[in-house]
Amino acid sequence: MNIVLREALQGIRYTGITGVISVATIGASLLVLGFFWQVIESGNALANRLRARVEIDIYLKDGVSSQRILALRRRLEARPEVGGIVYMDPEAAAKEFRSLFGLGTVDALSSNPLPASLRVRISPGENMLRRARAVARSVASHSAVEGVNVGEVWANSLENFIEVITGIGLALGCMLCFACAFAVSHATKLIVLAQRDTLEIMRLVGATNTTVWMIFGVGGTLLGFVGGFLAPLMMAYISPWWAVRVPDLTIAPTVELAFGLVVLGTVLGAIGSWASLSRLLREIA
Amino acid sequence: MQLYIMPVIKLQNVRVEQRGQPILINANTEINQGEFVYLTGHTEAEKRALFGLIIFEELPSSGVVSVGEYDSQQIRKMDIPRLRRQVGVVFQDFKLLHHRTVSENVAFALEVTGVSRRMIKRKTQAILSDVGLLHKRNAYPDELSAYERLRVAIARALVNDPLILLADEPAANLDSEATEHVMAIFQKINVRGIAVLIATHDTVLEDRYSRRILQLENEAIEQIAS
Repeated sequence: MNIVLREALQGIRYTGITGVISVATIGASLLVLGFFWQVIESGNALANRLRARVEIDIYLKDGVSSQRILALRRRLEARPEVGGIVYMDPEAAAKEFRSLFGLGTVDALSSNPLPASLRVRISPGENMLRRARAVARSVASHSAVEGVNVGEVWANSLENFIEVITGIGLALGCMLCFACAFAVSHATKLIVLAQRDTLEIMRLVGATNTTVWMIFGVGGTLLGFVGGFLAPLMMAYISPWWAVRVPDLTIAPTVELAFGLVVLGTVLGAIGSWASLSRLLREIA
Repeated sequence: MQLYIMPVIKLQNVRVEQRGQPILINANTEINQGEFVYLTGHTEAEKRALFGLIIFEELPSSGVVSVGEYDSQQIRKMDIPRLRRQVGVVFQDFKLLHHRTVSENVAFALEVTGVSRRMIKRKTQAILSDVGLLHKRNAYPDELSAYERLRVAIARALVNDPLILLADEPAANLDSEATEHVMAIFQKINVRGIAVLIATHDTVLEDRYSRRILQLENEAIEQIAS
């Protein structure tokens, strides 16, 4: 192991500026990847918060008795999609309206035109919109119900937004991973070429292929490791500056993310080395 | 009682082709344990082909090459490194690693074959002492004379205790005094039971240190003196 590490470090030293550029490429690529991961994570957290607030307003007909309202409420509570129900009488609805749209609009009218309603909160989880629609359909034809508002527009937008962000994240992630592997592959090629005489002697004196692979493969893997280590460091360094400008979106890496980036860098380093070595060693042999 | 001497290298009806051109045709020869043999008359391509066959860098188009316990028809790819540890090679240009000291160059051959650190130190010192270079162990190849570099290459070739030592024109860049010293080293090695095969075009060397001579000419190997 001693010789593997020593030779690998020596190999990295030979690559000079190219090795530095490779590490920087890996670090920068993983930084962008980590940043995007944080955006997706924050987006998902926001989506989950909003999902927790997916509500249906079931407007009741005027003059419906409290027994019928209670019966409707029990019917709704029996459904698994329902997370909670709040009864809004016309006064409470007017108060909310005032707080949202200001004084005067409702008060200008001689009587309160807002109906009583049941505000149904959908329990958090997958397919909130589909479940909200199912609840709405189940009561739409009820004799006490005047109308139902599912709030589809924003719910649809939210689902689409998360899909787009995740898609972009995945595509970008794949491209960046490829860039990392390519950078390491190039650096490994330089390590091997710079130590071609060492490689020749190794084969001549009877080093096994495993030893050759380890010595040259570890060099590239180490580059990936260092790049992977740099990414969370840079994120941590940038995050205070970022927090002042975009306070709603934190980019400070979590321990899990930092660990993940280091592992990803190392794995990409190993893949890049492997790709480069398998071709180069065949050519040299 | 008849003493059986094991062949270290055996070529049986060996044919080698490179890019469709025959390099060796129907080559047959044996080099036994503890033998000292010159190889002469060869072209660069023929010599490379023969050395390549011996270290299994290339396999014959037909025929069989045996080195020690391995032969070209049965050897597994994973055994080739083990075979190479039984063959020490000294190149004309020495192929030393210039960023490593004398001691590191020799130790490298042991390190990459997984020998323990204590053994590496012991064997490296012993072999450098044998070739008279212990005092130069911390010098770099560029600080050495051609004669000293040759001795480092010999030490590296011998440090894995090979069955045979192949040397390519070892006296090419040496004066007569250095040549005498180097030949003395080869003889010392040979006395220990290690077979020595020296590829040379130096007829003076062949005459002065008379040994068995194999001539590699017109794609065939012939014994011309013993």
